[in-house]
Amino acid sequence: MSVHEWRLLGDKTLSGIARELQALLSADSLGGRVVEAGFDSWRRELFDPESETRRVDDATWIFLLSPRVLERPRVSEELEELLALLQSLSRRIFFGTFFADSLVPRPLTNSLSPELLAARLNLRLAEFAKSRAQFFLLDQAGLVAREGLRALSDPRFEALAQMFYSPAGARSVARLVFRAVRALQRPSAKVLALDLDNTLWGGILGEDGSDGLAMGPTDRGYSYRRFQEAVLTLKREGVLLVAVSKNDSDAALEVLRTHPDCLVKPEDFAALEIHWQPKSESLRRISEKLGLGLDSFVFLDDSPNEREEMRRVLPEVTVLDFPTDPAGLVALLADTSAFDTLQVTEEDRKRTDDYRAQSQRENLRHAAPSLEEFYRSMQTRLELFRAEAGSAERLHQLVLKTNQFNLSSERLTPDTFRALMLDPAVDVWGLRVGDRLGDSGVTGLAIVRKSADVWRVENFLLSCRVIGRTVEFGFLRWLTERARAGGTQSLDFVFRATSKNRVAREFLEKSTLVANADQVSWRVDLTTDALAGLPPHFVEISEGAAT
Amino acid sequence: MTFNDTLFRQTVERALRLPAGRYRDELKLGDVAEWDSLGHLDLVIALEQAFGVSFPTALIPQLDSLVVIRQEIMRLSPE
Repeated sequence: MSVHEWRLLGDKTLSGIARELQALLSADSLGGRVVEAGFDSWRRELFDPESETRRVDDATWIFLLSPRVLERPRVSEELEELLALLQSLSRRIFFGTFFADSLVPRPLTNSLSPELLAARLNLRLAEFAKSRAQFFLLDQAGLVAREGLRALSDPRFEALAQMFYSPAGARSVARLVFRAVRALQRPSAKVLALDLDNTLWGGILGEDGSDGLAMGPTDRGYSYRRFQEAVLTLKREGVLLVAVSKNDSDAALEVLRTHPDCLVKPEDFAALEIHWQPKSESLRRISEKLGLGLDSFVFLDDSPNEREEMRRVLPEVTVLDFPTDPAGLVALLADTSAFDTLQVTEEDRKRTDDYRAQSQRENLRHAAPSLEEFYRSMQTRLELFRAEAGSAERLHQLVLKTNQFNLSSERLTPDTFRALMLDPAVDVWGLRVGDRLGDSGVTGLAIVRKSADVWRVENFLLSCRVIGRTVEFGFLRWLTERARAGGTQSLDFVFRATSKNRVAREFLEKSTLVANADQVSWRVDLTTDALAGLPPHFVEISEGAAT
Repeated sequence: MTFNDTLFRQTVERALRLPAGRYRDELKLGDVAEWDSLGHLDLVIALEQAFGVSFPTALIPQLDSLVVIRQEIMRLSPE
C-alpha cells in the first residue's frame, strides 16, 4: 500500500514546516509522508501535468502562500487560474488563507492596501470552498493575527534561505496544519462536560447567591460571558453540552432558567447532573444514557481536586487544565484540538435536540410494560437511499466518526469513498431514521460489494443514537432480503474488532451470523431460510430519495 | 568575560536535537546529519536567545563551525 502524501505547495521554502509537520504526524501515529513540492511550486508544479505533484495520486495538497504573493501584479487573476485548475482536478486540498505584510506600513489605507487585497482574496476562497466538499481553508491569517508577524517570521532567513517563517513560525504553522489533518482522520470529541460554579459563571452559588454570580456583559462577569458565548458556538457546531456540578439542583437550575445574565439555558444541555455525588459517576451515567464512549468526553472544572478525581477514575476522559485567570477560558477552548472538525453538517447542528429525545426514549423504555411494546410505541421508521453527491459529505462523516456500532471500522479517505459511490459493482446505501419523538437524520450506512456468489458488506455502521430500537435488525433484514432477491449465495459482513466496537460484535452474535474461515467476515447463508434465523425488528422500512 | 561553556553546549545539543555523545567543540556545519541548512537556522536562533545576541544577516552563512560561532558570540556579547 502506498503511503499517503501531504504535499506542501507555496511561493517560499517550506522545509521548516515540512519537518515540524512530519514530526507531529509521526508522534501521533497519524502517518503519511510530508513532501515539500519545492520553491515557488504553487504555480510551476501545478500547471505542468508531468510534474511530480500532478503524478502522485494518493496525496493531499496543502497551499501555504506567503504575503509576498500579494505583491505580484496579477495575483487576483493568478488565483482564479489556480482555482479553475483545482476545480478540474478533484483533489483534497487545504488552502491557507492570505495575509498581508506591508512593505511600507501606513496608518491609513484608503487605496487597495495589501490587507484589503488579502481580505478580498480570502472572501473568494471562502466562496470557492462553500460548494466543494474537498476544499478546506486553513486559518493561516488567523494564526498570524493571534501570534503576530514579528513572532512568526525573520527577515534574515527570508533573505538567506527564502524562508518566510522563522523556526518558531514553522512550528506554529505546522501545528495548524496538523490539527486540520487530525480532524480529517480522527473522530472529534462529542461532549463538553462543564462545571458551573467558577467555570460557567463566576462565583459560588451556595455562598454568593444567585445575585452574586458574575456572568454579565461588563467587569467581573465579562470573561464568563465570552466563555458562555464560545460554549454555545461549540453547541451549534454539534458538540453536546452536559452540566456536572456539585450544587443544590433546584437552585442551580433556577439560575440557568432565570438569571438575566446567563446565556446558557437548561435546554442547551443534553444532560444535567447536579448533585453531590462524584463527578466521575455522573459522566459514566451520562455516557450510558447518551450511548457515547467516555473517550469522546472533555471535562472542564476549576477545581484541581475534581480534575484529579476524573483523571484517576476515568482516564479515557480528556481533562482540560483550567486557566489561572477566567480571561483565558475562551483561548483554552480555541487551543483545544479535541473538538476540531472540518465539516459541520445539518445533523451536527441539531444533535442536542436528538440526544434530548434520546433521554425521553430512555424514560419511556423504563415506563413501558414490555420491551416489545416500547419498540412498537416508538413507531420507528427507516428509510434507505442510495448515496449521491448531496448526501456524500454526511455519509463520509459517519465513516470517520462512528466508533461503536461500526463493523469494519475502516476509515475511508474521501477519495476512496467517492470512488466507491461511482463503482458499478458497489452499492453505497444511506439510512435515515425517525420516530414519533423526532428525526435523527442520516445515521447509518452500508457499503456492499456485489459479485455473483457473494455480497460483501465492507462497511456497516449505525450512529449510536439509533441503535437499541431494533433499527440494526431492521437494517440487516432489509439487506438480507435484497441480497436474496439479487440471487447471491451469501451475504458476508466484514468485521474487525477494535477497542470500541464490542457492540458490533454482539450484534453479529445476536443475529446468529457465523464467522467465515477467513476470520474477518461473518456470513448470512442465503441458501437456507436465512430470514427465519434473524432477530425480529419493530421498524417500518422504506426506500426513498436521499434528500 | 567568561564564556558559559555549559550553556553553549546544551543549547547546541538541544537546537540540533543531537543524540547523546555526538557533541564536539570542533563540530562543523555538515559534520552531523542534524546540522544541515535547516538545522543551521534553528541553531542560530537558539544561540541568539540563549546568549542575548543578534547575528547580522551576512554573518549567518559564515557561522559554519562551533569554533567560529563561539568567537562571534564573544565578540557580539555586551561587556
